[in-house]
Amino acid sequence: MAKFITRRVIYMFITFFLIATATFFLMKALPGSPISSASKLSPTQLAIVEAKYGLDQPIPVQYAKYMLNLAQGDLGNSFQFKNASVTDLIIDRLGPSMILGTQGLVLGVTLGILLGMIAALRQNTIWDYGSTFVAIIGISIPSFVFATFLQYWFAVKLELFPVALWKDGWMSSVLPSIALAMGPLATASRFIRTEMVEVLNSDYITLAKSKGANGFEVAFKHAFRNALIPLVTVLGPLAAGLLTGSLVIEQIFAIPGIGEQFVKSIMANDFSIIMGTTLFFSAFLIVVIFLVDVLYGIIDPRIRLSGGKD
Amino acid sequence: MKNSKIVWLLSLLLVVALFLAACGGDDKAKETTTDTDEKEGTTEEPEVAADEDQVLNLIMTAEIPTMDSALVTDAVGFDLLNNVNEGLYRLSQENIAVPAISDGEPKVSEDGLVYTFTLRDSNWSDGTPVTANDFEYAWKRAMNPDTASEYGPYMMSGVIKNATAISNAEMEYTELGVKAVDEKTLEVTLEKPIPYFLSLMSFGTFLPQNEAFVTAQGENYAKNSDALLYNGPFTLAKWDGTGLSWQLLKNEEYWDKETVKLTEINYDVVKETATAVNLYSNGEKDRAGLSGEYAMQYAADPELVKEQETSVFYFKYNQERVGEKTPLANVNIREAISKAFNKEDLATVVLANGSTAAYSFIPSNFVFDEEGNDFREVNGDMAVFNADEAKTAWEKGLSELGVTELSIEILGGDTELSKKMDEYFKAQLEGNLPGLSITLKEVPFNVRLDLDTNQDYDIQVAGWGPDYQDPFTFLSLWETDGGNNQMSYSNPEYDKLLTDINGSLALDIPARWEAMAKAENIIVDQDFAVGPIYQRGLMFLQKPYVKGIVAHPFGGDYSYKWAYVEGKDAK
Repeated sequence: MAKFITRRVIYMFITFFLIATATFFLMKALPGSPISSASKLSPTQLAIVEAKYGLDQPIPVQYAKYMLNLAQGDLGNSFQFKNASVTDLIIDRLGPSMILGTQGLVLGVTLGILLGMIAALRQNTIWDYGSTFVAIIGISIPSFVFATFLQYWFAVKLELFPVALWKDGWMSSVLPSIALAMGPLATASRFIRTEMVEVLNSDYITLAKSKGANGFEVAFKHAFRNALIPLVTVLGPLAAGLLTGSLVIEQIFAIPGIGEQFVKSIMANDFSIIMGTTLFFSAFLIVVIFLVDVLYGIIDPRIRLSGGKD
Repeated sequence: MKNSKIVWLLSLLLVVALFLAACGGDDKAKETTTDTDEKEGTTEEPEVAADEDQVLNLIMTAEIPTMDSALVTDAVGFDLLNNVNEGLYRLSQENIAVPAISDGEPKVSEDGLVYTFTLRDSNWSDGTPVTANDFEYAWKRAMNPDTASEYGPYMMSGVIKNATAISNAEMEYTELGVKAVDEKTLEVTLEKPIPYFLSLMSFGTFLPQNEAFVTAQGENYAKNSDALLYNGPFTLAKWDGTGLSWQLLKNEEYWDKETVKLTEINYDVVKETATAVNLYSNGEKDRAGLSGEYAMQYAADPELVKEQETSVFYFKYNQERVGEKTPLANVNIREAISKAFNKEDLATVVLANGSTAAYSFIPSNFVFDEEGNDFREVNGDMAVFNADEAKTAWEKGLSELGVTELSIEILGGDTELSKKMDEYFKAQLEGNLPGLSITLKEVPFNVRLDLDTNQDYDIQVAGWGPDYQDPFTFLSLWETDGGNNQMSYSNPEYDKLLTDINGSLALDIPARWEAMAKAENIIVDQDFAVGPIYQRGLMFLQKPYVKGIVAHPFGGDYSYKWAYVEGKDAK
């Protein structure tokens, strides 16, 4: 196990390094300049400004410098926000995104599990079809459409929640969290239903039933536990997806989150923020996938990651 | 059995771990939320002085990139600086540059080169006086290569003495032609006489900065609202440097504070039109910009406000694409295209966002002569839609080129509105000019800039907004080999006029005015170097109790110095 983990950690660093490298060169291949009024400056003036930001050096040198700074945890300064360090910006913007992501995930997954279980236990009844319907809605309607709908009805018309902005504490997070929860809800309910149906038809459930276990016991003690395993695998990518996927929601509810900056920085050629946010998201995803892989191997003994002995 | 318990426990652990990982930033975020809540509370304290709460709630569509007047390059920054700081001059409610920190008109030397300003008694928001040195320091700082200012060299080159040499790294920045003679006297030497120099003095780049304060703050200067000093009608508050909300508060140290009625303006950045409109209808915001379908939906709303901007959009005809002559090198072809589409319909039906058809290259409501006549009226309407004239010119052009068919590319933006507009161009031009086929190329802004720099396009839908209140800011674009002339246009007569406008005619205002009108006529109606399309407009929803917001044609977009709230409580 220790050997497996060490190896995986080394791979993680290699993955991270490759992502950083690829992003850096892709970004440099983008048209345009981070200097907003470049077209208004004479070549000498432009050279002075570029020198200030180190843009005058050859790209391999810029790359080496960036990687060295990155190794020391320095993400550099933003171009669009003239004085702001990227690390500070990410930390400032992370809070709201994390709150929305977490709430969306918990809400979505919890409801999804419930819905999936009901569907599996009441197979081919109105409950089953109803839950399938909800799942299809959740998958097929984009979250921003749902967000706009929630905003219009529950904030503007019914005035139950704030329309937008991040000012009324928890209340501000309710509608965006619900909008975000739709995706995970659908995914979770489909997973749970499929697995539960399979598990409920397996031999050991028949055995449990024949031994006289009641319906509740069968469903929760025997079936649900096993059905949960595949869900755990998708939970990681789901969590990461929610963080990155919240950008449209953040824009609609005017929330000072990180997703919103992600898109804007690309439009503005703000190299350091593009790098900072991309690396942050990748690191998050890499770590989550790693955790899931390790724990998944432990949870289900049939899966051997390392092939060797523990 | 034991094994399954471990499985159960571990699954649970994983779920908890995931949530904990996701909660990393939670505590901090909650703190800040409570923080804002408390601050929100204090802002609602009733105002004693006014009958009504003089509070505005506004929306911005972008964050503040910087509040350092030496570094600012964007609309939001210039807009706020105009409200929290004040230079030698300020644009009045009538959009005329009037003395502000300058105590009356400056003394001007006979050759028009040396301006001596006497400063009025005024204070920074910390109570220290605004001195002549604050101007000298700020301007030199903007020229200091270490500051790496973009607008410093851009605005000062060719205007303030030695600025051109400094920005070409041929001279020390300390040699800039600005000098504090004493505490209250500022002497500015120009490179050449500049007729619009005083209106430049209202521009953000020429604002003062308090040397002692800037030096003391060091790296931290302008990082947030506490790391700044203000000498304008308002002070900035609750701005953390990158955040989506901030506040303007009445500046009690402002020399003209009696005029300022608003006590507070609350800003939030909202990028979605739908959200802005929802906040407006909920009464949380007093003004909301409309775009796209919202502009049409609210076209008849009684709370709709239209504003004409001073940005002009035009066909940029490239005569030489990557070293090779294009059909647009033929003046008749350019004339045909300039006249072959209905601009009126384009503005009112296709755009329908408050924009107006443009029949000139200099926008209307931008510059006026001493009697208040709009420069726009001198030349009358040029390049008017006329299908017959267009067709005649087209056929003449085709026969000169010895062809019967032409295929031309139009390079435009990739926004929904741009695409709609491009389709309209294609339909109109192909319909009115037989033998023409238009291909559309729609790319993001950065890509377009790149293609423009490499001169890799046929016709580009381009736009330009003024940097100072003089037609020259538009006319100078088409100087032979000029930095923005990425279309190989060259006319010696036009170049001569440009030289005269800012040279021999600089002190002869009426003759200069005429020369500028002539130059405009050459590019729009004789050479058809560019084809004006529309002058951009804005549409807003604005609550009827909001009064006195002044929109400006250049520099900061709005002034709130004269704004107030009236009749809100009665509703």
